Amino acid sequence: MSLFNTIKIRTPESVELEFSLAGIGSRAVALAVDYALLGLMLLGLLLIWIFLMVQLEEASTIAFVSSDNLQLWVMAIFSVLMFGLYVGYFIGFETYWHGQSPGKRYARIRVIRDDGQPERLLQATLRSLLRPVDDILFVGFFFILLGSREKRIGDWLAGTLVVQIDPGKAGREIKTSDRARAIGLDLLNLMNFDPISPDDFATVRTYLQRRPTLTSKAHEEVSLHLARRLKEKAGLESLPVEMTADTFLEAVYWAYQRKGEEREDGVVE
Amino acid sequence: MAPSTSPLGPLNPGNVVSAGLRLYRDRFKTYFALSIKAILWLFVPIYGWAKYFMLTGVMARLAFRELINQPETPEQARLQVAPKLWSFFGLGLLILLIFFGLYFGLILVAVMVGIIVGLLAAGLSIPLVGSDIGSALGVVMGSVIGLALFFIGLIWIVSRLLIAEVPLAIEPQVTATEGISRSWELTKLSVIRIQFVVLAAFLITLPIILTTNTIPQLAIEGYTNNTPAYWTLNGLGFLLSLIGNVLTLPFWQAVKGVLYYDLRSRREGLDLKI
Repeated sequence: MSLFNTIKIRTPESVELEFSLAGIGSRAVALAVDYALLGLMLLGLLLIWIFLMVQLEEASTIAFVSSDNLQLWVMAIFSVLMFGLYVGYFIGFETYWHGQSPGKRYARIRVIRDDGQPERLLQATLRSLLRPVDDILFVGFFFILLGSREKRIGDWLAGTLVVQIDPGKAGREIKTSDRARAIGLDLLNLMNFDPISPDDFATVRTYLQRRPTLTSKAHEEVSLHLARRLKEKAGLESLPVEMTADTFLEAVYWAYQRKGEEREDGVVE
Repeated sequence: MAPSTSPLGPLNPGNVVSAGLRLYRDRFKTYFALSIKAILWLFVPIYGWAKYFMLTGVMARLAFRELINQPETPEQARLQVAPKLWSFFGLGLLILLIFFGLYFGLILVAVMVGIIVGLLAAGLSIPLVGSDIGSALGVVMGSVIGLALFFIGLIWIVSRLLIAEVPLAIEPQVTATEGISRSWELTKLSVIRIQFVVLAAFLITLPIILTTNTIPQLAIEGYTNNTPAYWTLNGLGFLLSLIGNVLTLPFWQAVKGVLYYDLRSRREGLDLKI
């Protein structure tokens, strides 16, 4: 069962890429964040405008220009600024950040072109101009929900897709203690790593990345489970020295990586 | 659709909502039938309310079981959950009491803090900017801080108790009070993330809420009270809002089931198995 729609794209260079589409949830999150930010910016601008108008109302002339005249100018300038902010927010961010706005960054999604290329000014402009149309009566919402490629009208016109950014598995640095590294060195000779699959190793890595957020009880249980299973798989009867499950997992992680590096070096030679 | 071998693991808020919606849509008939039953049971006092809570738990359970690749039929789920019928009622009652107490407690605290902040702000600013602006500043500061405290406190506690019925429906041996403490423990580091989940889920239900609740209500406003037309429209409006609830309830419960999976992955490493 796949929870997210995926799409395969053949780039102009004939490379096939697979993306997970953003999904209605992430797009709703992004929209909420962006509209909240945009609303705050518009409110700030409005407050400055009101402040200026009140000040001008009190003065009759400033530097030989009549206040009435200045008020008209301020009104005109701020109207343009407001409109510019409303339209420019998405165009600016999506062009500058290659398909991302602050909301999309938070939701970990990105706009790309149908051929997999990054979004540019033209696409960002079309998407932004069509945004009010998509917002009216939830038109865009239904388009995203019902279409297999999750495109709102702006996306159809601009030829764009909204996709998830890879969660970045390499994200958090894993710290291994000196002791674990020393033990890892022993394990390289003691332990048969072949029965340990790359998936198993990935699980150990994910555990080491995520252990700070686990509850202490879960921390203990999960580390014990993983350590026991690894020992079983590798046919390790006893450990070289007394150690905690965490240290053992760090050692295995470190040793497995070392092995991987050696293998790669071997290929190069 | 091929069964996925690697577990899902923690999800970002948007994906929690998307996954909930996908699960609901893929088994729409199942969820819809459960939802109709749940809502109809609401009309029967006490016993029916217990049934309602239990069925909402069943919906969340179905979503969760699907995420751990051990899907159940509603009958299987109900058999597992049924012995806890009165625990669900107890849980509902407990949560109601907690919110009731909390509501008044928060109002009291917010008012007191608001007054103190207001007095401090006024006392400090009156010598600087005069009594008129100073006292206005005190009132504004006091009420803003008081209101903020009230709402942040309310949102925080509601988020911490949001999924209390889910562990009760999924974990064997868990009682009503344990359900609450499980929810409390699991949501500990995720209050902000939960806000985004709720916000996105709400946005998605908005078209349904607007068509079945808000717009009919506005339409009824125009008619004079106590005419036959008014009562017919009111009846229709009530029916429509019931349909709206029947449609949105499974979605919320599926989202809660996914959220429970997400939180257990984060806090308890549910997905970390080899």
